[in-house]
Amino acid sequence: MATEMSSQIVMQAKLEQLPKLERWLEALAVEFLLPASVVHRIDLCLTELVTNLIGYGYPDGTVGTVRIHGWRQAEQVLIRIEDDGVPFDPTAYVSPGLPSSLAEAAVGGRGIRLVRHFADALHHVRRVEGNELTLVFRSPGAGAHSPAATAAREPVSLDSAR
Amino acid sequence: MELAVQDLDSGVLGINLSGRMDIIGTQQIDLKFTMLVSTRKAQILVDLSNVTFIASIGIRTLVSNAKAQRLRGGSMVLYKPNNQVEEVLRATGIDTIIPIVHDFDAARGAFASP
Repeated sequence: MATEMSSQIVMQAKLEQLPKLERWLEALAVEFLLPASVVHRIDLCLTELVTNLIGYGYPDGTVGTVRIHGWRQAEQVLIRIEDDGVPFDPTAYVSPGLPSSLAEAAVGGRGIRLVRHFADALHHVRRVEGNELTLVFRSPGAGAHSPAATAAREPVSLDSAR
Repeated sequence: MELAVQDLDSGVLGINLSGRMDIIGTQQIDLKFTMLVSTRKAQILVDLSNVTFIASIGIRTLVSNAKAQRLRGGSMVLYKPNNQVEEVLRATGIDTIIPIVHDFDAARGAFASP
């Protein structure tokens, strides 16, 4: 019988803590036997969301606390980010459209688009003291390297991000 | 991140970026990159082959400097991103506004018809 694998990190919402998050994900990737493509998708989404939180989550200048929990189920990895910042629901955020020309392209504003593109599902819960965001990444089973499993990125049971 | 400059054939300025282009890495090269790309008209080839990761903050730097260079009458191409970096660039439609090329001939073609 497979035991569910799980790992947690608690960090302050400060830029200097981002390398700590990178190291946590590297260890998680080894423990969960994740293929590089899945690790990249998780890395990108976590980087975008935590960077966003550091920049905009605490407008009063306090340094928040972010708890990140990753766990593996048969064919997917779930990452839950809990913060104590201002309300922000990326599933409700309307990303700017894709640019039609360089002249018209916005300089920024692409982070949430990337999260929605690279996570298979997102589920946001507003809590009294912050936000709880769960991301789902489809991944082949532990030790398996089936390209079909990564290719089949159908929405899963949580609210689809796309 | 690190940034190195290389004069290439035909007057093209090569800028080789390496490392992780997240907020920390981008801050390390942003000022130097902007000085090189935005202050005079040029044909700029940004070599991304040693960039291991790019986040939206890195894309912001590429787009803002490509726009500035276009206003000066020059152009910029992105050279040899790895598969993951290219996937991120394509997911945000960057390939439709800044050419992504994988060999020098294609870069020359892109500079000829910006």
